Amino acid sequence: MRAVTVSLFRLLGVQSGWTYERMGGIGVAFAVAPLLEEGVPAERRVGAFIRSAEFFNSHPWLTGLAVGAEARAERDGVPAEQIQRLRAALGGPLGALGDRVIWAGLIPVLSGIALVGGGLWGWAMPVLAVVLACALRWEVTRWSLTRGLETGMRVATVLKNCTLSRISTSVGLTAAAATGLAATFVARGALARVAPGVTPWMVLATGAVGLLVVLKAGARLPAYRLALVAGGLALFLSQVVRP
Amino acid sequence: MSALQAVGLLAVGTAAGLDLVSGPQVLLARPIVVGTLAGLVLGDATSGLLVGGILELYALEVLPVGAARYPDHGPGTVGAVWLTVQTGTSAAAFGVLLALLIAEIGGHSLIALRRWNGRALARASGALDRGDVRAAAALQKGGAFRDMVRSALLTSLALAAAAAVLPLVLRVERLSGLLAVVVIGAGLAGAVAGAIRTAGRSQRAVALSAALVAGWIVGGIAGIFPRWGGW
Repeated sequence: MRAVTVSLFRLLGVQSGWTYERMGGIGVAFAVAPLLEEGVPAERRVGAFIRSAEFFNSHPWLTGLAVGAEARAERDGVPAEQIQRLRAALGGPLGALGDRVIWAGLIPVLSGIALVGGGLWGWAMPVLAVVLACALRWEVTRWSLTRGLETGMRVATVLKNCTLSRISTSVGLTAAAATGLAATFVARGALARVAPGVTPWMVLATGAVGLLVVLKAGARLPAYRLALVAGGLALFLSQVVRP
Repeated sequence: MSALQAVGLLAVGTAAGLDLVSGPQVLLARPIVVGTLAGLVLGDATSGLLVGGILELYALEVLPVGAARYPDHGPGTVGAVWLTVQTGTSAAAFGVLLALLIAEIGGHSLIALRRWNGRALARASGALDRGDVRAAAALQKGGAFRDMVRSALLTSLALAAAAAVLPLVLRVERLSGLLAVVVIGAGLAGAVAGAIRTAGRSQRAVALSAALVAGWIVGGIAGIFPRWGGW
C-alpha cells in the first residue's frame, strides 16, 4: 500500500492515543511515519519522527494538513527549528477552523437531517446521515493530507483560501437553521408520541425556563445535568408524597 | 432479549463509544444514530428513533473540543432504548434519564481513559525518544483497545442499570407525563443553548429563531408521522 494511503487510514483514528501530556502528538507521529520512509534521508528520519511525536493539538478531521506539511518539510530538508515552529503555529488555526466548520457546522446539519428525516421517514435517514458523514470525513482527510504534502511550509496559504474557510459562514447559518428546526420538531413530535395528553405548550414553557437557567449557569449546569436534577427530584418527591 | 440481540446492542454501544474520540468521528456516537441502530437490533426502530431523537437534543449542546470534559451519550442510549422497548414509548422519559446518568459517568470515564493513556505514554517515552516507530503504533492501538474496553463496560453498565430499574419504572409509570415534559423541555433548552452560543447576535441567530418556529409547526403535525414511517 502506498505511504499516503497508509497515512490516510491512520489519520482516521488519529486521537486513539490522546493524552493530556502530548494531546494528539502520538497520533501525528503514527500517521507521519510512513511518509518519512519516502524521500527523507535515513540519517534525518529518526529526528523527524521524534519531532513529530511532540505535543500537538488541533482538529482531528484537519490534522492531515499538519501531517502532510511536516512530512514535506522534512523531505525538503527544512531546519528542525522551523518545522517545530510550523507545528506550534498550525495547531490553533486548524483547531479553530475545524471547531467552527465541522463541530459547530457540518455535524449539527447532519444531526438535523437525521432528526427531522428520522421523524418523518424512519430509520433510513439517520443511516444516510452516517453515510454522508463518512464520505465527508474521508474527503476532508484526503484533501488535508494531500494539500499539506503539496505545500509544506507554505501550508498557511491553504488555510486562508480553502473551501472550508469560504463556506464557514454559510455552513454556520445552515447549522443554526438545522438545529432550530430539529429542536422544536423533535420536542413537539416526540411529546405527541410519549405523552399525547400533555399540551405541547408545557414543553415550550419548560424549555424556555430551562434555556434561561442553562445560559445563566454556563458550563456548570448543562441541560443534561438540569434534566437529571429535575427528573431525579420529581422521582424522589413521587416516592415521598403519595397522591 | 436473545443472545444475538445482546451481542448486537453491545456492538452498537461499543462502536458509539469508540467513535466519540478514538474513531473517525462520523456520527456513530450520536444518540440519534445509536438509538436507531439499537432499535433495529431490538426490532423496534421507532422506539429507537424516538429515544435517540430526544437524547440528540442534549448532544447538540456539546462541542467535543480538545481536553474539555463532555458527556458520552452513545452507550447510555443503548440502555435507554432497551428500557423503552420493554415498557412502551409512554415510559421513554425514564430511559432518557437513565441515559443521561450514564452519559455523565461516560464523561468521567473519558478522563480516566486519557490518564490511562498517559501512563502508557510515560512507559513508552524512552522508546519514543529513541525514534522507535513501533512505540507510537503500540500507543495508538493500545489507546483504541482501552477505549473499546471502556465503551463495552459502559454499554454493559447501561443495560444492567436498565434491567435493574425496570420494576421501578413500571411502578411509577404514572409520572411518565411529567418526566416527559422535563426531559423533552430540558433537551429543547440544551439544543437551543448550544445553537445560541455558536450563533451569537448575527444572521445565524435570525436563522435559528425562524427555524425554531418552523420546527414547532412541522412537529405539530405529528399525526402524519406513523403513516410516513417515522416515529
